[in-house]
Amino acid sequence: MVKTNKYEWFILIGLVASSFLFFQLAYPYHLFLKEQIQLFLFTPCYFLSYFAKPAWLAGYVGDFLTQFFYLKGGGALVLSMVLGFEWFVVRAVVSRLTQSSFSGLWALLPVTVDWSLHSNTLHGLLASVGFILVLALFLAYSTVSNKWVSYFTLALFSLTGYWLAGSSFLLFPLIAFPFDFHRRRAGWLKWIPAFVLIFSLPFILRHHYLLTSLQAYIYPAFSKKDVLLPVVLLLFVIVAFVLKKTESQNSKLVVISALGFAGVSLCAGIFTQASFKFEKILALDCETYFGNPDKVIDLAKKYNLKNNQATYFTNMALAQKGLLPENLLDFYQPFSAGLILPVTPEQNWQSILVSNEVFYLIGDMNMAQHSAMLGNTFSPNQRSSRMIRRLAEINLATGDSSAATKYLRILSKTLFHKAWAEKQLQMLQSGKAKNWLTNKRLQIADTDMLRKSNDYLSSLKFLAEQHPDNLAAVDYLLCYLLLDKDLKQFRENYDRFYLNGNRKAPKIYAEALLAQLVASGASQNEVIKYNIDAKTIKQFAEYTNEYDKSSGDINALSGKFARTYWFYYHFAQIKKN
Amino acid sequence: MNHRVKILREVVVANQNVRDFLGNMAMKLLCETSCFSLCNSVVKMMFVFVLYSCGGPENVKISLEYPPVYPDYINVSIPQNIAPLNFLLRNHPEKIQVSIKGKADSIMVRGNHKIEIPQEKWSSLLSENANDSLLVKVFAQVNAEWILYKSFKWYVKADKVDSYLSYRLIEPGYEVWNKIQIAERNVENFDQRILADNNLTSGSCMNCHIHGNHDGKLSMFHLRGEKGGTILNKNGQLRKINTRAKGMLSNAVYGDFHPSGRYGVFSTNIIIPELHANRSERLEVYDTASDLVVIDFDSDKVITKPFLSDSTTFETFPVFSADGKWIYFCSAPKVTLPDSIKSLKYSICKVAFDAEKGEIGNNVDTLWNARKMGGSVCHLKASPDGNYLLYTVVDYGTFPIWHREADLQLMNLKTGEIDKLNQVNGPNSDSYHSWSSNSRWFVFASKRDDGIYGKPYFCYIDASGKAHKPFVLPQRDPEAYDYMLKSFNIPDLSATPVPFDAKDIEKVYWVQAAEQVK
Repeated sequence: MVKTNKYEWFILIGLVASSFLFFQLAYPYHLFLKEQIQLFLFTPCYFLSYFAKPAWLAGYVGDFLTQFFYLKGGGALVLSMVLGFEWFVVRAVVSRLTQSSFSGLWALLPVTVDWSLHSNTLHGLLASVGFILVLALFLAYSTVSNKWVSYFTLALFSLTGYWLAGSSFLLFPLIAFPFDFHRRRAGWLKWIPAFVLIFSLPFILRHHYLLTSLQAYIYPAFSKKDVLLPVVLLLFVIVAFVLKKTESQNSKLVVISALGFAGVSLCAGIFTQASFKFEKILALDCETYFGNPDKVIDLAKKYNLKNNQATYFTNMALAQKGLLPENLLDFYQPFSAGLILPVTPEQNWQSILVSNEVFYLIGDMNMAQHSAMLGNTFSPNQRSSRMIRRLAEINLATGDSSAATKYLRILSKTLFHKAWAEKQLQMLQSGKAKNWLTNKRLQIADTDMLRKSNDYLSSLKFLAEQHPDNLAAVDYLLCYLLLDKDLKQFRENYDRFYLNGNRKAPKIYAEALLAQLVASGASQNEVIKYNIDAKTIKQFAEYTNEYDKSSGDINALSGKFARTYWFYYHFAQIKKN
Repeated sequence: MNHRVKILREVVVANQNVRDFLGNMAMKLLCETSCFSLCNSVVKMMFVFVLYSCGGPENVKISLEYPPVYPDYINVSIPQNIAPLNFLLRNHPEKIQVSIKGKADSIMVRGNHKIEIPQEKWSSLLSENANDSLLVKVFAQVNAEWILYKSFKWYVKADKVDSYLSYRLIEPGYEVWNKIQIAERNVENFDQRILADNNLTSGSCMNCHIHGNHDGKLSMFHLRGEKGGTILNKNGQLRKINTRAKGMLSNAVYGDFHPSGRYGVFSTNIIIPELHANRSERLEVYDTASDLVVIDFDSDKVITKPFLSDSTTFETFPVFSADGKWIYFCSAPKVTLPDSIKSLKYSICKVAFDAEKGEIGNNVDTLWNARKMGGSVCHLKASPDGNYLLYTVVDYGTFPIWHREADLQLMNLKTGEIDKLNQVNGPNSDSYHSWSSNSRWFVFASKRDDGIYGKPYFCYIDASGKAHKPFVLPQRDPEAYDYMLKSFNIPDLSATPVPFDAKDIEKVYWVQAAEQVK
């Protein structure tokens, strides 16, 4: 290994610290999601499952490290340490290949590319580990001085590299051959077979691994974008090599250009790869997952996103706090699409992954199970710790203890879900349900009906019929009808499920009721029974006057009435893409 | 815990039982030793002694309960060619020691909480004890205390089960799919081969794979998607057939081969999946229309009869009789769906088939009348010897895999007697069965373990027609089922392996043009 200079320590510390701060402060929720879409088990079966595909070692180590993303700060810490280690190895490789005094600087470039690739949810740690592994193999190879040992090492690595590290190993001959060439030991007899073997092995083995040709050449990456990492390394090795002769005379220029390239590549990478809007949606999602509705509402106010998923999490938080009919129109509402996310093959996997949350909240356990199953099925690796936990919760709630035990057994083999799973298993054995479970069971339907998986209205009506005291379900039903502007059905269902108990009509319901009562020519006695406050009645009169006066001019009404149901009813439109 | 203590009635017998156990083994070995095998026996005795002296059971308590083994292999009947019945104990022991004792020989296996029985020793033990039984004794060290559980038996049947089992591996995701594989397992060991993988066929759906005549040289499955078709394997030659002719409701769905291999009988169905709302139910799948057709694979011609495409009745799950002279199928009068789903009840019917003329008969007989029997039948399978018809009965409907009450029944076609197979059925869905070519074994998909994930169970039918307690397909690692998130769909037995694999299916999918039936 090359000795690390003082300035290089600054680079290393700077890289680790800045990447830690970036992922911890600007991008933490993406990292939570990365843990949620994998399920790392400490079982022999699970370990052996890695041999079904190439890159078993990179995959196992990468996924082992990814499980720490579950911890607050764990993701940023692991990722920054991996990037730091990656820099260290890349630097050694660049130095070995070019003997450049600025290897540490040139090494920054591929690492910044990897950093920006990690902004993408599907770029896993296994890709970085595979890359590091291949570079480590090269470093090991480069230390071999004996001709015959080098032949043997090359043969061994050529045969096992793809198996261990996946397609990253295609980089190996591209750096090892120039190294041998430079040291005048690049015999054609040695390298032609090696090149042929290394580049044909993915194709030869693709049927064994059941991969398409493209998948075989990029595995374990999901996307062709990941090829950028070795390409950038090669590019800057060439640059470092070319500039080597002149770098001592132009050291300042080299430093500035290397740092400049690194900065530009990082910014461009983050700009193109990272989605800070999606990070905000994931923030709402994760806070929902961790059971913090207040935080979800605060974040939703702060972000003010006009996005179906953002609204979906916000509405759930409002329903949990019993505030859905009070605050519904304080947030962007894309009709009923912000209440329930569809579960169809046309949706992206992340949307399917979170679609069970609302069904679980309102007590439709069968729909929740359906969505959670599909969430797991469509997650990138078909193994999601979050979905397995949700499936366990659902089956605990429905009393399917054998199914719940199956999922809890799986979770009890993980590092961070084990404690929760074992607690639930103990609860199952004791037969004494905890409060959360008792409450959840109260929501579950006792009779049956059949409905299509996208017939949300029937599902909501059924839930309300089963348990009119399930306020979350009743609110979802009424808000669903209101957001779809079906006032007639709204009033019927309001009368059926909400009117009892002399409850005061919440804001949106009162506004909608007034509109419907007036439209249907209801008598004063009828209006009185809805217990609508005088302020709303007065505001309604003002709205109708203003509406008539301005002939329905949206600008005249938007200032004072933008958050009323009347305004929504008159002016909300579905935007067609 | 108290319950266990109460039932166990543990008795401390310091060392005595172990000494007895080992002593018996030693005596057995010596008694049955000829001069030629004396050395062998001495070596075995020494091995037993070494095992005993290096941390084996001491101060053993006797339990009157069976050990909590998973899978449930207590007193099951097994074929002499099955893979080792590796198992684990559910009570998290620190160590276990298992002896499997036959007439002459025995195997001693140790593990922490699970055991892996050596394949070679196992195979020879089974063949030595065909039509006899093996005695299984389980010692377990639980909380630093050794327990000897009540012994149980494995009844080894000389009748072999067909060696190859194909099944579809899929997440039980109700109505849509992502990753699907069709696999073939050699049940004599743990080798599994992937026959088709939808990752190589643009993610298209694959229906389950079935054999004709229990022979790997004749099989088929439907591969959906843009470039899909029914993949027909005849002697390794793969054909892709578009089975939807003009006027048919859909492509071929459920089907079976004629014994000649020339014909296939299929249902065509308009399938609707809907979700239940009740806590114990999940998915309901029903047909809004379904008809029957026979396809002549030699001429790609569709054969049907007007009464088999009648809009007032549903017809589905057709199979040929063992001699090919009959088509058995399920039939139900049309009801309003989904409102009257609980009135949707299928009977078992049969109609004649003349293979020489390629003609379906004109008269339909009812073998099992749903109205009288008060249930609904699905998945008919005629035994190869022509004696039995095996089917699933549910309370209503036509899709049993999410019906907890779905149970297998066996009809004696000679006498009409029905066996409700109480010894076989579990608390959850038991369905999708297939016979072994000797009609002594059948395999079926059961959700008895967790209600969600189907696993292949094997059941023995003896010469008198009595069904024995079934056992699940053994896995090398008995924990494999615990951590698996896939169901085994439609397990189907074959005496020989199929001569194609995923690579061939990929080629057929992308390159080969589909033949069109007329």
